[in-house]
Amino acid sequence: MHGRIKVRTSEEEKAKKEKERQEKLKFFKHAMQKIQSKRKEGEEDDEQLGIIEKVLLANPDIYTLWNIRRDILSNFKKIKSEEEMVKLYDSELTLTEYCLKVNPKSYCAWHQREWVLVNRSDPNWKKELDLCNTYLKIDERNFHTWDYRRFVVGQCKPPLQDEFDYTTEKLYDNFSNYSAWHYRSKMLVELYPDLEGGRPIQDSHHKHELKMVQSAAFTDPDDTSAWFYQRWLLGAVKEYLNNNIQLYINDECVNGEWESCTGYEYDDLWILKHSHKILTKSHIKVEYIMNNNGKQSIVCNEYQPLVYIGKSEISFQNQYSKPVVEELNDQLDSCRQLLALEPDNRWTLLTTTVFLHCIDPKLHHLEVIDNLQRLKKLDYQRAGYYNDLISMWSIEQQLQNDYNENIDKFHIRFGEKLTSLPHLQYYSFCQTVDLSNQELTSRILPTLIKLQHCKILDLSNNKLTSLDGFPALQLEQLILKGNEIKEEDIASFKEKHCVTKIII
Amino acid sequence: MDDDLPTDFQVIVVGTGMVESIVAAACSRIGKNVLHLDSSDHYGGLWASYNFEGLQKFIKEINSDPNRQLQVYNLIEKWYIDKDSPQEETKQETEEEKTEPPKKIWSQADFASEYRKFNIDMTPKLLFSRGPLVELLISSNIARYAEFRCVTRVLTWLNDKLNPVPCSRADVFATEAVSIVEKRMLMKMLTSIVGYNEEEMDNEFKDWTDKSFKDYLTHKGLTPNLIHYVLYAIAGGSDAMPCLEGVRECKKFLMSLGRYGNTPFLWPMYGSGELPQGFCRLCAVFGGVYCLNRPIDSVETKTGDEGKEIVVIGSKSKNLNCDHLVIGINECPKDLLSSEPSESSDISKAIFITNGTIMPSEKEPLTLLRFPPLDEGDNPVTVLEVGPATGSCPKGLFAVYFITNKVKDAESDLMKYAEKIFDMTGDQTKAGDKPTCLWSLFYNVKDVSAGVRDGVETVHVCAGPDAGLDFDRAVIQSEQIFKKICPGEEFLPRAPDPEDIVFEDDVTHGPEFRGDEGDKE
Amino acid sequence: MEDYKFLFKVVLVGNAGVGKTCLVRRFTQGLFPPGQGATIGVDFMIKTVEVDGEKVKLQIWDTAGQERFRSITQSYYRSAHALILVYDISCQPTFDCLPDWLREIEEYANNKVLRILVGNKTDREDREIPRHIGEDFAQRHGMYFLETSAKEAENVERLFMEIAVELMEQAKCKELPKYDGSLGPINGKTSSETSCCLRS
Repeated sequence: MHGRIKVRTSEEEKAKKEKERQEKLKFFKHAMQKIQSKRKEGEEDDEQLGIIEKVLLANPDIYTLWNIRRDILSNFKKIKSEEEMVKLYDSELTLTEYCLKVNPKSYCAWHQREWVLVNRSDPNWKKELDLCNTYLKIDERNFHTWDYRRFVVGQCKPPLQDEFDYTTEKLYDNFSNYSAWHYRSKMLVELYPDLEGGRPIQDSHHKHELKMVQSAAFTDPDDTSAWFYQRWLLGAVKEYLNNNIQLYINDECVNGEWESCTGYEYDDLWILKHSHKILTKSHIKVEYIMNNNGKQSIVCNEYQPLVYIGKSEISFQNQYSKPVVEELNDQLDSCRQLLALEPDNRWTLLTTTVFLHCIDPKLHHLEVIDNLQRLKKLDYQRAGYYNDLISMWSIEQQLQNDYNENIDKFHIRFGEKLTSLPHLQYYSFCQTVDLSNQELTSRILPTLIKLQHCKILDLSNNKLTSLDGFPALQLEQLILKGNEIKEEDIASFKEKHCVTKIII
Repeated sequence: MDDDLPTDFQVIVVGTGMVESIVAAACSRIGKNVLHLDSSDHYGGLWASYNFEGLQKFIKEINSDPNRQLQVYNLIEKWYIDKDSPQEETKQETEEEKTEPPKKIWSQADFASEYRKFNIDMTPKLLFSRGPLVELLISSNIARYAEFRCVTRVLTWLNDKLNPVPCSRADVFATEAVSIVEKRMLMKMLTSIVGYNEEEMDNEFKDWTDKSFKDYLTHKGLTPNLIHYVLYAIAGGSDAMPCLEGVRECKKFLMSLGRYGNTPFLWPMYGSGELPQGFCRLCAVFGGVYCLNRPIDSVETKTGDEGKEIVVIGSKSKNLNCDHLVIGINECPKDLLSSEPSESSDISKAIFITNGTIMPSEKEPLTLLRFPPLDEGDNPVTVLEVGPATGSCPKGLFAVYFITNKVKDAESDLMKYAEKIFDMTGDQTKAGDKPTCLWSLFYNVKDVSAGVRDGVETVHVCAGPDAGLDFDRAVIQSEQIFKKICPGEEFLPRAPDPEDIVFEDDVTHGPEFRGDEGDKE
Repeated sequence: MEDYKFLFKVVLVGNAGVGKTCLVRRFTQGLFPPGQGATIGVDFMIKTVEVDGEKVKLQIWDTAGQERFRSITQSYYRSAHALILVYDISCQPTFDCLPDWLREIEEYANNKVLRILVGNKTDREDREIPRHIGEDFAQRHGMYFLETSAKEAENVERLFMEIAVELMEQAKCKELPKYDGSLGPINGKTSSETSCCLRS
């Protein structure tokens, strides 16, 4: 017909596609066979590289083939001239580039690139960095590229400020980018470390970052990447003690083995196994070196005969500088304005709550708890998260008082129901622990390991359904009434644990 | 050579403006035998882009032909710079002085010698990234004939200065011009407008049908800053803009975000004049016959042998016959047009060539600036600034287009807006914050639409350029005309990619290539 | 899989009937179409060739008959990497028109475009333009020169291969082609990240 040209119909197109597919399959099978037989014969030559290349171009994710290539190249390195190797490495890089075009998230192709650059004598890191930036232009969120880029940066060491600016640029393109926020935090810590301790970065930058992240949060509250970054900024830097803890009894250095009660590498409750005998009226102190090399010493007082307790300062209040607190107050104001406009907006309410808590947890405690209770209703899918926040922040308030009052019993003195048991290590010396009438489920049972000195434990009227995971403790009395635990569970519990008295 | 021209066609199209070219392409695409004529030596008619020489020729033609002034009038061309460059001082620069080359001082002679590097649009328009023209270019596969650049920023005139408009998510995040609470309000307004479906629209705006968009925004608690951004810059409206129209304009703007760049707009490389040519190329590829420099003298309709109506066109003492004539309104003999009073509105336009951008930026900007009316009775003014990277002008220069609905005449409608952003003294040595205007052209264009005389079913009249920002009206009108000519046929189905075409083997094979190895298919 | 590294746009111009379409089809399909006129609906033809082990895709554009009444669209010349100007060695008028074509090329094509003058139909017995006249003309206007016969497949492959080699060389001199911000075709079908862009 005039004016109509013949194009393949969908049937023909399908047949053609199928034919192509079959041919590809045939080629693939043939090539894989050939590769394997050559491998067996030890024919590690250019031909092998050529065949493998053809297969990889179609499917870059066959690890084995990349391994063979590395083998061959490593052997070539022993016999070929530097000049020849440069050519081979170059074409290897070209190959990975093609493969990354096929699959930008190919683990093996990225890895091969890394291997080539590390192994050749003349790596061009600048060019690599440009390549990464080109890829990130196409997909700014590809974490493979970010990963690889960090590796390249580690090699060519561009100015940190440039790298920091790069994250700014990428975030201004699109701030829904966990990788960029994360990298930014790393750069900040390097560029502007906080010398005072306790804060992630220097004040001036801290304030700027808070502004930036709030701008993101207000622009798109549904994007979580900014929230994570905000939490990092607001968080305190915890001090970790290494092995630099020394115990002295009557000024005599006590040696022994520190053991974590959970058996983890990092823990917040450690037990020293030693062979010293502890007498009454001993002078016991603990010394440790802090990260800033300062020496801290804690004297332990005798609570009861043969029980000595030492306490360091305890504070859950993050230490912010004045300008940062001012900034936080400003941001709190903005949030309150917004809340007046949209009282039911859950993220505004949550941010408000986080700010309140950060600025002064004690002063704002009631308002914080109140907000969290409202959030549970507005955002019931995250009710568990809010419950855990309530538990943690309530216990933090009580803990301050308990610590000052030298009590040796632990019982809950606030109305909110606990769903989790944070900070339990601070009560590890208590002999009587009353956790009755809470909303604890069986998932919290393993954390009870922290109650190392507990003799009487009241878990009555909770939501326990089984006793799986109950740790080995030297309990005299365990009260379990008001839970829905099966008879047989209790029976098997009794077999495993020697508790003098179990009240059901 | 003209004598070769065949005389019988199914469709003859006269004029190569946007509407005519789309219709020509659509007819040819489905197999109609098409002849496409233009009286001038270039494509596009009033939709054309000219180099500087072509532009001078165009101005001369208009000024010397009263007939053409019915459509384009009030032409005022102005130079702000000298005819020739001052005698080059003998350069005795040392190496150090060379680091910062002095800004080029342009003369009229420089424009003449670089005339080819200009592509000045008579009808500058942007394409919404999800607007009807972009969709048509893609669905018809005509997109391959053109290249585009993204508009890099949207500006507005606020508090007596230029301000970037935060219009995308990234902009809102980055801007420091609005408070944090405003950011939330703006994002909320924009996301809700984008999110409404028709039903929700009806519901949300049922009490707003007779109120203004400004009232609505005020009611929603937006601050004056935000109202300015949304109303004047994003919706491109004025205080009187009806609420629903404002919402629709906003929605169109927002829906086009995020497809190609940071703004919703595309600009065609080498100017809008390339676009009708793309459609003409497709028409030709499907067998359309092209003949420029071919004015027509007469149009008659008559009834042929079998009672079929045919249109006879007289051109260079030759009669050309067709079933359907598609003709630009300005080419159309008046006696064919309906005697009913035609709707007409007039557009005021201006073109400026300047020696720098209105707001410097890191990379060469491509700008849409929307002015709210500065004085009572004015209409909003649209400004487009394009630089060398678009192929519009030589390096170092910018072409800036102003468009508004006419109130008095182009110069009095637009000069005061130009003065806000340009230095009009012609002084190129000053290092002010405004770029210097080197050359300008003001003109008015009549936008007439008219139907054909009753009883004539075979002649279809195409409107000229309109004042709209995008090509919506041209696309819609051309589809309507096509449906009348070819009822039931598909409008510009996708042209096949060369890879998918099957060549009939009705050809004799010549000898095989010698030495052609490895490329057998 | 589109595994070519470079994509070049080559356009042909010259009077009607000098054999432009035949050159293209001879090169891309290895055949010589009889009769007149371009095939309806064919926009450009594609052939991938190999230069120094690298795949180069040539997109070869024909005039779509618009040359018949000297009405080629300007946009046809835009972003061409190479331009082949063809005349018929057995037809003086097609040679006489060359200056007109050159004027059009200068007006609309990039000034760095690779230009080749081709005298086609060397198979014809009735030559009117001696080879050296064509050569002279090409030299004066800074063009490459080649005589071909699409019918006999003479020099056709050489013509396009030399274009591919030359364009590759130019592209390589520029190191990595910089992304210049132009979107290229908006449907993204023919654009390739590594496609080379010679436009300045």
